[in-house]
Amino acid sequence: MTRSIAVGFDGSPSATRALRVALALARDAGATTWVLHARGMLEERATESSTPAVVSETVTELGLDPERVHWRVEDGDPCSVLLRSVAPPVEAEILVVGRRGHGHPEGLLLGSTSLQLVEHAHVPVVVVPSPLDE
Amino acid sequence: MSRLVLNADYGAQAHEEAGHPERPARATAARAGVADLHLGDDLVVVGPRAARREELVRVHAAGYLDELGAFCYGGGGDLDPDTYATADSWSIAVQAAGAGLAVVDALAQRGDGVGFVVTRPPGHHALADRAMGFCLLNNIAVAAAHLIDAGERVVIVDWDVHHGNGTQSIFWDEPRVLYVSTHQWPLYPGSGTPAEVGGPRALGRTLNLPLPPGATGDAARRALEAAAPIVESFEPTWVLVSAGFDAHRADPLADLALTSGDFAALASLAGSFAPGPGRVALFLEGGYDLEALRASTTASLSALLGEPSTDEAPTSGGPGAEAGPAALEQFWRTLEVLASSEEDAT
Repeated sequence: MTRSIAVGFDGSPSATRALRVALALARDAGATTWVLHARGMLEERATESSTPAVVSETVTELGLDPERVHWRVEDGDPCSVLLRSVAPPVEAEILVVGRRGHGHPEGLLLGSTSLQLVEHAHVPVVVVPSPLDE
Repeated sequence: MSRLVLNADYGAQAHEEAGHPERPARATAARAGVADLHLGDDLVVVGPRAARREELVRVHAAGYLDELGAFCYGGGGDLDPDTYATADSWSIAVQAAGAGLAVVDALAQRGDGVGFVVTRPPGHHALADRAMGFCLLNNIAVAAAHLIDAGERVVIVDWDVHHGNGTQSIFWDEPRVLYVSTHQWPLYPGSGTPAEVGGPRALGRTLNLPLPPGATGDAARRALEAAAPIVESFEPTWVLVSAGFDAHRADPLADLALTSGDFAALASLAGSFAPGPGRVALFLEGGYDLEALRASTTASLSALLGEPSTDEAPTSGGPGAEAGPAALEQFWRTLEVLASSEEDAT
């Protein structure tokens, strides 16, 4: 039984698509969802600590218990933040990430969080394609 | 007086993205900090050279090097939300890594002097197979790997305000490198806790000394002083310093409160770890306030060269005065736990 699912979220359309998939998976599995925002070097250190509206709205739309969806800001690059989420307190058993249609050549790890995650993660990874990938 | 061996001229101006704080003016500021020393003939400039592929693959995955090169030659772009590359960045990054090699080779040949490498792009966040945190190639790791291949034992002192996750990761299981880092925590990249002590073959070869936001120079100095017995028992033959100056109180990307005078004290401490002359080299990492970068460069190098300088006064009284000793306690506890679990397994 899956107890914890982590999804990377940066507010982009691809991240929002990944969020919907993660929340739907969590609802079906009865799992807790951790919505993780990776705070980079250039980001204001006062990044909002409250859950973004789009996350709350999606939780409501999909009929999830808000108590079982956690918003968390972590310092680091998106790949490292998701990889670290297998440890406490998140203890993610599935990682969900969006994939941007950035036009990089197939197989190029550079700049692709999703491909890097698949390469390094020791738990299942769900990659949610963007429309350009479909 | 010792001479300064410098490599700062490899055309890094073309590694630039509009509005990004990791910008060419940083190298200009660091060079101005060197000029402020007025060294005259005591300044030795070693020529640029590119790091060779066999020197880079000691620390980077071959596939990553291929992809990074191809990405740059294809025009470059953003590698993550923080990190950019331009069409020229590959050749510049290879020159930056080579600059470190040229400086340590020059020091080894001379048997005297202090090295300073004005590396752009910086390197200590770069992982074996991934660019991040403004870094493409891990310059200091390339130099350290070069030295240990020659039979040396290298302590890397990293006083950049951000934890050098790339360097730590590259040497995680390498017993011939001791990695010691003071950094702000919490802060990007999120790693760097005292419980991170090294891999199975190199337990105790990673020492993290995180400092809280607002910490002043006394906390950083005390942390590095607390690490001194561990460094001494490691018996390094070389000291390489990831000399970021973004722990300065004027820096826009972090919240520590050091001054140039504090960097002078840290440099003296790091220099005291060297077994003799010609065995210390500073590699520029971060530092995004140009005046602070210039003054801190001058102060650090002055301290290592035994030259008088007019630094800002060292600071004290901020939070975290006990952070270093506390981190060291956690470091030892972690090693004890790992040792006892190892015994249980056998």
